[in-house]
Amino acid sequence: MTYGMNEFLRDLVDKDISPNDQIYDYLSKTDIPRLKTLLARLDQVRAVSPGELAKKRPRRHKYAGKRSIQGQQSRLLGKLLEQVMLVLLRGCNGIGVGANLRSTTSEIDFMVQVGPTALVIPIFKSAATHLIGEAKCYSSGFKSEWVNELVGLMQLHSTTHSILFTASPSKILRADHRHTIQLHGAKGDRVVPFGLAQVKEIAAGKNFLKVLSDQYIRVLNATSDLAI
Amino acid sequence: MLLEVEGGHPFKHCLMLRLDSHVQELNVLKSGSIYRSGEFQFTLSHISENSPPSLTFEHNVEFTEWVNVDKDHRVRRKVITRQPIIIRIQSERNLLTISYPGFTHTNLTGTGWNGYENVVQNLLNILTNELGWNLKILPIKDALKFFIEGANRRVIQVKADVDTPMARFDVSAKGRSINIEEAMASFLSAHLPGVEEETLRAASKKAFSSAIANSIVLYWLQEGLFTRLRFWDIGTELHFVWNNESATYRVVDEITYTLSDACRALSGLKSEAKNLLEWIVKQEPLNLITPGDMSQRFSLVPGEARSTLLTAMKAGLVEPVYRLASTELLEEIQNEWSPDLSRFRQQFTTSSGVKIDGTNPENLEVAFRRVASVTERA
Repeated sequence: MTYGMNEFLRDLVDKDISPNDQIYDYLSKTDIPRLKTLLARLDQVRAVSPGELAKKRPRRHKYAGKRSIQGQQSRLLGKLLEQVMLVLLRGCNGIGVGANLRSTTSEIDFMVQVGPTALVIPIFKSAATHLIGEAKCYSSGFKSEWVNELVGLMQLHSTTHSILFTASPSKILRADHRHTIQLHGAKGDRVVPFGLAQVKEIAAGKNFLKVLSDQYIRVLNATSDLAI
Repeated sequence: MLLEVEGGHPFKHCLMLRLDSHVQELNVLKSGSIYRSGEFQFTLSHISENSPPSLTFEHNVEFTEWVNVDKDHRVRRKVITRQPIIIRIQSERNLLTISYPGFTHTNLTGTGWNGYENVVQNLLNILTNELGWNLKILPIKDALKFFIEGANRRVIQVKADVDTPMARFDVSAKGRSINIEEAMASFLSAHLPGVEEETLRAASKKAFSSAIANSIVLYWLQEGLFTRLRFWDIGTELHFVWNNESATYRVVDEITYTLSDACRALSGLKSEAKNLLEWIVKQEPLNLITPGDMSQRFSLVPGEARSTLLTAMKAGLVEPVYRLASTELLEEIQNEWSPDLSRFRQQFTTSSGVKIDGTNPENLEVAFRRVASVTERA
């Protein structure tokens, strides 16, 4: 009788054996050209100065004022970040991804359903059934309030794990942000921040699931190099 | 909260033991209880119900230090420091790990350079006599033979202090990629022109494995860190040298699980099957081993072959190989066993026109093959 790949992956989970890079690469293949295109668009939209653009646009334009241009810019950035996250998640085997889901209590940006094959990946194994994700595309820095809000959503949607995608400027998270994540983690609610630094690593060739797992391990161990 | 955080991070030293009894519910233990054994007094300061559950014991260590009074005078001052010891209970794995910072200076009576062994021994007396836990020593030295004899990609022995009937040898290899057996073989081969270096290497491995080890230092290739092992009569002590790695229980568990799984595989085998791990070690490099073939050969219970092969994989003795679950000829590649999983991540067409999706794990099958050492692969 042959030993199938599915059984092998299940045995890795049962025996607590971490997957190697080969398995990460098999279970996730990101469309790198598409990802790079979206990142370039993100930079283009970000680089627009609403004040300058408002001066150039005719008054009859739908978005002529500075505020309306800022609003348009924010909406576009949000959509682009969602697209980036979908490209990453939908390249993975063994998970089902739903976007912009409306539940009875709230709207969530992503829900990731964990299939049996994906249980070999540490974060999916811990989440067991599903996890949720939020995308925050603000030009401001990372905020602890995002983590607190996301934990509230997690409790409403019966999940213990979530991914907080953000396009905030890349940096190592401040101690108070890490403490917020760690305090929620001590109660069992794990929020994994995932920023542009991680997305650029993937665009440069690293595997998405490996980068996500590394970030998750940093959250579990509350290491001081947790960055976005 | 602080004690909970302290319990979540490992110290430099770790003692591994087999836990043979079901540990009583931890809620019967009382935080703040004081236990005495020998000249030591331990306080149970924290009980954590997280997974895995853990106990934090504390004891005080007295030492003296020089304190500057002014620029011309200094005095010796006695200082009492708190030393925590974290005991992690992993009942599902029958594993107990005791993590502690250790100390290099102490004035405690009965202590020498092995000072902390005395401390841990007294704590173990409390666990066995007062709490009723059944603890046994893990045969880690025997399990290490399988890592070190023959090729493996998990760990190399870079230093050893061993006793033989005629001499004491303390050997250190240079760098992280050379083990002491290779170093010894290279040292001797220059003066033994008729003897192959491979023969000398194999002899060195057997010689070091058979000698009485005082301490050995291993370099773990995946984790990129060193552990020094000392074989005390109360158990095997691991001293982690973290280098630039973060000190995390994830890494500690990877290593302790690998060692304890290898010990379990050794002890759980039928005597007539001799030793499955030993059989795997003796396979020629790149020999294919399937779970089915192993089950047939040794008349194993269902699942035992896979379990042993996974343990051997974790120990770096074998590597998984893959192929498509099809006997037909493929237009794109030759469907032979390969360790390169990425070559199957595409669509295939058989000679009869049937499409096979290589990205679907249902269409792949797995076997194992004995790893080759770096020189053999070259």
